[in-house]
Amino acid sequence: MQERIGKSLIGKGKMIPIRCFTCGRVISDVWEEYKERVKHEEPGKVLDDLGVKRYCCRRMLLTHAEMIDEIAPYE
Amino acid sequence: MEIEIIERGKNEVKFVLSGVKTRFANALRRAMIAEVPKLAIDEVNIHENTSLLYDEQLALRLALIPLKTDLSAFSDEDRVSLTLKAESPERAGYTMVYSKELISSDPGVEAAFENIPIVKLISTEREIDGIRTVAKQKIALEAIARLGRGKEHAKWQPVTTCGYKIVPNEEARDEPLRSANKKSVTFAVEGDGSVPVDELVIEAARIMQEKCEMVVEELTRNKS
Repeated sequence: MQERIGKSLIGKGKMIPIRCFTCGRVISDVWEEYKERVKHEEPGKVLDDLGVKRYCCRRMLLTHAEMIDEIAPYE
Repeated sequence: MEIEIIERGKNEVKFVLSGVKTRFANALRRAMIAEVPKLAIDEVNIHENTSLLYDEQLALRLALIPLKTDLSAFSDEDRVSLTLKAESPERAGYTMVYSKELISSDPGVEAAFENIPIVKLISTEREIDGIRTVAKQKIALEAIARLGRGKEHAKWQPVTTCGYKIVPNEEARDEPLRSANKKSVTFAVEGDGSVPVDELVIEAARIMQEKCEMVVEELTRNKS
């Protein structure tokens, strides 16, 4: 399940966006917990647990690829 | 007009407004989205930024952080200054800068969510000719928040989802005429954390009232 983080091209960015692109709900505050828990849990269940209900907000976390650590050595 | 609250959470409310026409419900909806003021960071003076984010990326991220707003305490001219200072560690590693680290000039104003990551500051260690150096990253800035409205920019929009559904009255099913006149709507409002939702709905209604009063005043003045 670890492989799922970092493979998508949709949510490629330096850092997790503060809010959902579509509805504007703040989603970044649960990102770190999500990132940790998804290593050994089902992403859908983690999202339910964190209270991320709508699919617009869910895709923000699901498809995000954090690139900041990969960019860091070249800056 | 009758109001019945179905569901009430920390940041959301669901209620039925009965005996109103959809145009009224829509006016209320639009008032909630575009007219209710809230605080958001509008100007950022960046003194130092050696992080991986560009200045404008940093400013955009700051602006999107919802700030707790007491609507009775602020007017349009008021400014709140928030400072942020952070540095990456002395050795190789990183520090994550969170929204709770914003220091506000007003004790009542703070980020509605504590754990929003603003930027990751990374220290990198390099060894050149046997000499170890650590490249550190640093940010120091002053952000100025002001009151604004959703019609100006989405960062000042106090609601995330805000909509209504038309529910035809049970009793009026037999009389099409009555159902056309009397309907109820179910509202679902979710706040972004800056203004409490119940306060937000009341404020929206008050803004509508103020606007209607302005029309009445203007018309009576022109008549005489």
